[in-house]
Amino acid sequence: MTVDRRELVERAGRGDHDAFAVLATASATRLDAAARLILRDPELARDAVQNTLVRAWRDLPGLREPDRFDAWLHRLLVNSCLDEARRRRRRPIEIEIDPIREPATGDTTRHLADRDLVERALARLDPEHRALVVLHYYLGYPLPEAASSLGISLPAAKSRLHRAMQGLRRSLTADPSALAELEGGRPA
Amino acid sequence: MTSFDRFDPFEQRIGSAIDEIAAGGRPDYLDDVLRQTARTSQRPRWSFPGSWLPAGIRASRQGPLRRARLGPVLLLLAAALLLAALSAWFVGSRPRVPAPFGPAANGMIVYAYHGDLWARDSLTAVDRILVGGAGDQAYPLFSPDGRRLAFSTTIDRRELLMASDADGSHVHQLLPDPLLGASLAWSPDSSSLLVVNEVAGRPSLVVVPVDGSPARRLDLGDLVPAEASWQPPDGGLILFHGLRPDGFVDLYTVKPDGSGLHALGLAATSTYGTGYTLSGATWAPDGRSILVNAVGLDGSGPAERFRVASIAADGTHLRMLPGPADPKVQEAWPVVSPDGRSILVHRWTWKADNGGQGWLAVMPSDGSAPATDIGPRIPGGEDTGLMKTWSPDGTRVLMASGNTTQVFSIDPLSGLQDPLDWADQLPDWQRVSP
Repeated sequence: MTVDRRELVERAGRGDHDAFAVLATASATRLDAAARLILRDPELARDAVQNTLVRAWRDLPGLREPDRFDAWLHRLLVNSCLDEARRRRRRPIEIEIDPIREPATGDTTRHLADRDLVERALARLDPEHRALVVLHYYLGYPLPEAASSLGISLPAAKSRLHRAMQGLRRSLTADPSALAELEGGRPA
Repeated sequence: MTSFDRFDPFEQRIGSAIDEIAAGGRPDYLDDVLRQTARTSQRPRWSFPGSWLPAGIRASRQGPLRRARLGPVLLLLAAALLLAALSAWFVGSRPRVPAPFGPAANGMIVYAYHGDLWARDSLTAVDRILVGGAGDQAYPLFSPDGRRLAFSTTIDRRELLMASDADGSHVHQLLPDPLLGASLAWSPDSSSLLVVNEVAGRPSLVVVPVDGSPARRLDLGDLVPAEASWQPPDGGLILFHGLRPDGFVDLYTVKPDGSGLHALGLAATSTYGTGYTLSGATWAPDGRSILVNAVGLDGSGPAERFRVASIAADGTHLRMLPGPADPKVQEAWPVVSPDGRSILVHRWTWKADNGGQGWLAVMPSDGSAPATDIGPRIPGGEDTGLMKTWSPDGTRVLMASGNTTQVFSIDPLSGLQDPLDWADQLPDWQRVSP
């Protein structure tokens, strides 16, 4: 974290809302994206980000390590997302699964196919597993830190990530050619 | 190289695909959020708004006795005797029902099995079908007087709120809307159900009379309600868990007619989220105090911990009940015994700790000692899905585990359990007059 950013965090922690607005604006795009990945629902994601930023502003005076602001914020976000997911889970909703579409093939559309397949495979994971995938693969946290953010042990995080990746692979085996393509085993 | 190595081509492509999926711009709601934070006060690190004193028994207060002249007293005594005689004649002419709170005798046990509701006689252990027919019947809940039964029926993927007489007759639908994330609580006089349900996409608090009168939705403003219950002994107040627009949660009371909305002033949050902060609120049978889940730092370690707190009905006098000695053990979701002397709690260790376990424990309600573990330990930590209830006479505890579909009857004194192999969901026990 740069000195300027650390100073912003310290100022925000002392009640400077303009400083907090700068921090929030810089983080919002990534927070929103991470929440959408975890929750798979833009409205729930919006609620989760809103809760995260309100809590962050309110609890900033208690943040002892300004250098850890981003990790702290992401932890708040993940917990808000899991909370939203649990609230949603209380309702006996029917999960709508998109009809299986033929994946696009060919060099020019390979990325679109990856995205489509992974998006559908992610949707089949539960929010806890998606949270770990997002922390590790999207927000870029090493596993020990991702585990800490989720309040679980490193072996548990490894096990959870392993299961998540197995789940992704399993989901993708519905289309073996796409899996082979993703694994780099066969050119498109 | 481990299986988690990002140079694995599969995982590398996954990472790239996730980046593409996540692509987006500045969220259009950010300005609204910043306006909200600008209106929100900052505060020091969250802590329990109360002391950590060991619990003590609150002495009851009585007014001083006054001397009275003998003549008027004798007249009043005669009038009282006449009234008592008339009351005895009137009550004796009607079926006896138990008082809405306190110990009662154990009636039949009702449980859901393969889409029907079954009744099991407590004495003879004979089962008979109580409510069958179209749809899947589930979640039976007897009224406090033991004369009515609420349950849900799922037809064409719509879960509907139903009621019947205790013998399964007079089945009728109570609400036109399907149940979504609903919770139910019978009024002390058994005339109405308090239902937290989604109406037009928003959780609402609805009072539903069982005589077919129109349901009344209480106006709670911007609050999002959950977990509502009636204050003993007369249901004069409704207690509910409310989520405020600013992300804080608090406990609220409101009169059944929707007036007198009042925050208990415990506004809090925790890293476990708003769904858990101040959750599990339940009244003591005397209606004077409330037990609630308190999530926070209790000095036993760096992580926030689930504990049970007691507060007065007006939100004052918060005190923590003695927690488990092992800092890894969480404790929450209190249920007071019918006689008000014991508190049944759910304990668990996180799955991250060697897989975790869930189990039950019982503590004295005066907070004089930590809870004693009872019954079996269910693997799965926080996901054991334990549900629990007291028998009406308080001599047994029924426990069901969502992730094993096992049901047990547990002696709360010895902790010994008997498996109930005829049930796979938590049954409900009818209260009858002693």
